[in-house]
Amino acid sequence: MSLYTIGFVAFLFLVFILYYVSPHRLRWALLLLASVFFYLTYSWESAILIGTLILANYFLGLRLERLPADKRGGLLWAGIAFDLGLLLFYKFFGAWLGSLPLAQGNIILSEFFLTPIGLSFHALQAVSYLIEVGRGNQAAERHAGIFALSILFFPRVLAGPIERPAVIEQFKTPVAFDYETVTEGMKTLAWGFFKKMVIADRLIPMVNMVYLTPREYSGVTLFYTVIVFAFALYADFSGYSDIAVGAARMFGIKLTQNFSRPYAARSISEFWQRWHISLSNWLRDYIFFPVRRFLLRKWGRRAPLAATILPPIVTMLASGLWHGSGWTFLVWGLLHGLYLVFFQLTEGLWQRLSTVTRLDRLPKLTAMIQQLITFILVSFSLVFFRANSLEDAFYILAHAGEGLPAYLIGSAREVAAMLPSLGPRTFYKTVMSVMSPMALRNEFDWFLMIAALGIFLILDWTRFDLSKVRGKPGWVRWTVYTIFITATLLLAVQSVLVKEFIYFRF
Amino acid sequence: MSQSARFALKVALLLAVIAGVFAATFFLIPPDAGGFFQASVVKSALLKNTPSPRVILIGGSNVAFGIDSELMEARLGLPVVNMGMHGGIGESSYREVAEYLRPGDIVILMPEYLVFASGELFQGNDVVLAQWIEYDLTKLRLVRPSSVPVILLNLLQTKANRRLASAFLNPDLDRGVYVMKNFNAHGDFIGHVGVSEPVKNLESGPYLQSSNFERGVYEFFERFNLQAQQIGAAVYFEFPASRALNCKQTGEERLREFYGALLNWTTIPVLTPFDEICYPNSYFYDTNYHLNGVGRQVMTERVIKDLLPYLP
Repeated sequence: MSLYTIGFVAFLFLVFILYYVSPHRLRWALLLLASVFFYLTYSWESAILIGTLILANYFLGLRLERLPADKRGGLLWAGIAFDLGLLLFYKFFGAWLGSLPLAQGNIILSEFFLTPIGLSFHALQAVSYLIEVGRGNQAAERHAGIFALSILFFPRVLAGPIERPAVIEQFKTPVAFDYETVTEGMKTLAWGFFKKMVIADRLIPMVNMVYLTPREYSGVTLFYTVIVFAFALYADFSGYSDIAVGAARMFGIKLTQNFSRPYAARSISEFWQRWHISLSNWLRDYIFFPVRRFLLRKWGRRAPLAATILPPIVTMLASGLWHGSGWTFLVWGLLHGLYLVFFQLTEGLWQRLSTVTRLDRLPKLTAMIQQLITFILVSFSLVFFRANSLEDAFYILAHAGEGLPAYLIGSAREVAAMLPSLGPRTFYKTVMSVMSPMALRNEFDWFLMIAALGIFLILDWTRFDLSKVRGKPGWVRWTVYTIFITATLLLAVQSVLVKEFIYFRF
Repeated sequence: MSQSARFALKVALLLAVIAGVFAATFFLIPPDAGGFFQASVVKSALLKNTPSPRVILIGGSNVAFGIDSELMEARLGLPVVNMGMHGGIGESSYREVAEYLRPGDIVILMPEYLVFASGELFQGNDVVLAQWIEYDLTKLRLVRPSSVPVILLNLLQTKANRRLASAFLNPDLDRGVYVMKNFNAHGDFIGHVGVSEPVKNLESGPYLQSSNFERGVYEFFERFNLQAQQIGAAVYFEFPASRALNCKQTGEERLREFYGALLNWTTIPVLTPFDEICYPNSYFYDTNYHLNGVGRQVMTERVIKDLLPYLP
């Protein structure tokens, strides 16, 4: 059952109605049943594996809590090794085992070697649970059903957010129907559908075409693709996250907001506080800080540089590895590690530069320049994230932008010639004059995408969300809701080319 | 009023308003006059009204592009109905044919290879089905009930996008050759006849993967055959042409496996010898399934030759 289909919406509302008519003591069972059903519509083989992960961590948590604090280390590390080992096994060996002749002729066997859906997210959530129980910060959950639900909860089961153990309490807290909470959830859900179905689904097929055979495209097309992918990925993943967060909110469950206008970040460090926040926080708390503490303890004042350089690089390499086993992901991770180190080490230099150039007196301009630089660095790294090989990534980076200045000058001349006769067709021709290198299939589809992307960026930049119409007159609210939902449904892309969210493959 | 009652009322009201907007979109934007899929109305009329016994060819756009029905009629002495339209219509087009079969009818099945690789594909593409039913909503009876809501939503999207495109592009919507007027009275597509050079940037795929053979698709055709036999009609498989580039690069081995598997599984007579499946690249128009004027002639002659021994 795909997350952005009529079937899912019908399923969601059915569970929603049953949830609020059920007594509180049965709600965990209803949600768990619904979540298991939802997961099984994807793959029963994955369900068996995730079930194993859940059971193992449930019993490990209980056992850990019973041990004295100073004797928990061994079992804790064994649990972490189990969870991460399962993840690494599928990342590195699953695809290879699935391609063997024995598995190829056997559908069931080959399915078992496919990475269980959501494993990357569940494994990290399970590790977090064990660590917090091991540290004594979290009581081990005794209710097996509620523990299972905290991992399998259907709005987040496919691709996060990666929740901390504190989320478990929410499933035990009685929830009364609250109009504001439910409608807030529905608005977030609607915004998520818009981002996914109208923006991401138009951009992704174009991006996929170019990344599949980059050598067939011009430098201008490659340049546009690099930029477009940055927005495609954002719309896709943040769209999914909003659907997950909004759907959960309808049940009174508050999940972690995973995105906070990441392209408004003024530094790479800030970017990682705005992008895939639940993963960034996990990496910060369970890799960055422990590595840094270890290095400071081990080397202290003898090698302060090591404590500055190594933690971000190790953390971002781990992030790259989490996303995939290919070299491209490792390079992507390494790039971000180097970015963080570079800007950390040169922070003083940038401040002096800002003073010398008097940019410090122009905070808005400074902010814009910082945001632009950050966006360029992120887009550059995303080439490695998306490319099918390092060779392709280097090719794209080497040729992206070739011929762009001449192309833009030509477009500017065409636009200037068209301006006297303004109208819908002139507007269309003007836009396509600039963007036509990306009109790889249907030119009009591409035009609609640009229009929708433009609206999305304006709304995102101005921090618009549907809850902002609260307090406006009734006719304004109803008009906005009607236009928004109708536009989403009428402009949604029902395409066989876009099957699922990008982050489902992690 | 309780919060939940207030919520239910507002949701119902919102849905009603949205339904109203959709109804207005649906009724105020007429079907695409002159569009490619308007030919389906002509084809359906031919299917209902052409006297039996007759030859009915059905598949995807490979049949629309690849058959000269007039030539077949002249050689076979039987009326010919070309029901080929678009591979994305899938099983629904075969259901339509099954409704109008009569004793003595001869059905030539020429599905595009890819439908055998994916049951999902054979169920039909919702976007294509929306365009197919736009001219005749009664065709909804032919699609899977579970697909109806999505198809209707796609139909609304198609209408809205078309209206926008007409405003921003031009009223002709840059359809190229894919228009209703390029179909003849038999349902053959003839917009490409007379064009000898293939269109540039011809797609190089899709390729058939033997591990993806979908048994359910074969079983559908077996049921179709059984139903036809009970009526007194005859059914045959005739294979679409495959581009030589496909055959040589990755397709030939797969085609042999597919052909062998089909011969083992089906009770429907297969007319095409394997060595007649691969056609030169120069016989193709703009996709791997669309023959040009020359290829169309060769294919029609082949179908006639293969079918003649089976005629009474």
